[in-house]
Amino acid sequence: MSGVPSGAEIAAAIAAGKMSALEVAEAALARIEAGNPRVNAFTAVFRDRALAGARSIDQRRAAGQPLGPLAGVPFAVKNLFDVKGVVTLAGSKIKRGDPPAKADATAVAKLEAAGAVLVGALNMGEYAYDFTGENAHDGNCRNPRDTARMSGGSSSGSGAAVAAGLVPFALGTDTNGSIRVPSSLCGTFGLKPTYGRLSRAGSYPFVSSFDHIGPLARSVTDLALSYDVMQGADPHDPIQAARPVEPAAPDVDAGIGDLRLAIAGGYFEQGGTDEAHAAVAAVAAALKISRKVELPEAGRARAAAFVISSVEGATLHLDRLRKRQGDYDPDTRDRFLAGALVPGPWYVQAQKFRRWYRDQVSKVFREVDILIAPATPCVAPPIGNPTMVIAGQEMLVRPNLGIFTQPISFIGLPVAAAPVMPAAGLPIAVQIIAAPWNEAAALRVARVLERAGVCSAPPAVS
Amino acid sequence: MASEQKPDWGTHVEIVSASIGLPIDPAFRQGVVDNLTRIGQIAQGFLSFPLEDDTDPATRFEP
Repeated sequence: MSGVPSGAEIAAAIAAGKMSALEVAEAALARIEAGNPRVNAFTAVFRDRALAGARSIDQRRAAGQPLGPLAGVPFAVKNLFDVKGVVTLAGSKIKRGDPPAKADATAVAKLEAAGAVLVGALNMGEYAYDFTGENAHDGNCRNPRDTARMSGGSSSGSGAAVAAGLVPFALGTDTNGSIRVPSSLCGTFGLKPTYGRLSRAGSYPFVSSFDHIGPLARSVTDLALSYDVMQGADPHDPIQAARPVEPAAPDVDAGIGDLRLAIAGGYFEQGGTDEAHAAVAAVAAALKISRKVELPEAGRARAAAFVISSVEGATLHLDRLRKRQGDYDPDTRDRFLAGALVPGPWYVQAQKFRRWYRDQVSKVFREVDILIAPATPCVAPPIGNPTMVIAGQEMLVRPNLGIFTQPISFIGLPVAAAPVMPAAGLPIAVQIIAAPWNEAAALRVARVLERAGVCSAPPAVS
Repeated sequence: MASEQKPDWGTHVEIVSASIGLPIDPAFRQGVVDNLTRIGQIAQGFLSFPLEDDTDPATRFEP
């Protein structure tokens, strides 16, 4: 039991008049002030905005007006989301000279329209090119379970703030695993929706081909509620798919009797520590999964995702790399520069491979509805460690924390990350992967695991 | 065959960075070469995979 009420519980208590939104906001601000120095998750706290938002909720209730499903629920956003009047940092030094954002990101506006109360902006890896949570400009974001360890990235502050219980949910982004990696290392639930489902308008980009936004939360219901209110067409996002709103929350407790479940075999059964594979085994046992299915050529998919990311990321930054390369975080700079020099045919071949892989995986999802795979190859490594040892092999941390997430976001499949707490004391998550546009199924599976006590956010430590 | 030659990423960094107008601070050069070497090794994972000529790249554009 975490002792931290979920967003759904907070909204219900406010709606019932058991507490005011102002009390909730003040308590959240006090928790952040007391707990943030330990983890360095927040880069800005919006005290006035939060209190004004909370007062507005209380006034609506007093006037008998309808309240949204997240009325009075505090949340925070990775600092690449635009917040009106605030400079959007994207974890960088360079953007500190930008003018403040003129409007809120679409996702922020939708969450506030549903009653959620924005309390702050969160630390992240520079320009989202990160799996570790380390940041040379704002300081490293630390893991609430063990502050000597990485939070994971690039949505590092989102994972740490939620895992520490500073907010019930937060927004992150996921290009190659940046929601799922911190969810795994910190121990939160996370949702990377289908590519094109949620509007990215007002979020600073990294790799247009793979960028997604999504929530991290301490409960599956909060994931579903926040995901649902962020759905809907947005003319400001040219990449968003023309899909109807398909709410997940109403059926999140519907169970999984109708779903065909399997373990992702082959590539996903190798290259992780015992903890990573034990988490999958624990989930498979709880769900009584005996079937195993392989995603064909997943290793090549990860390779192609790696190259596309390097090229698109570098292209985005090319002019700044010419003028201000010394102002980049040393851990991202050399990778951006290298990406600018990748031969062009490699990029096109990687995009051709993406088409082939997408078609092959579509065939797999004719036979199954859900695949279970590890989220990270290991629990949180110590901060500052450039290498780690997995299965007796020493490897670099930065490029390898995403080996299991990259083949999935490469083709935009929806994934819920669900944390397992092994006896060793550090959490590690599994990926619950669904067919395109079937986020609801992934969330139903996550909810079954949560109810069974197999997956849960660790107790808050702030 | 050219594909069997060991890539000379140091020279590639010199020439291509100059030709695209991206001068690289000498202090950062080795890090760039190391990263490009890593990208090159990883890229072999899909470059060696045969695809049909009519497989369309998965870039997306709707007129």
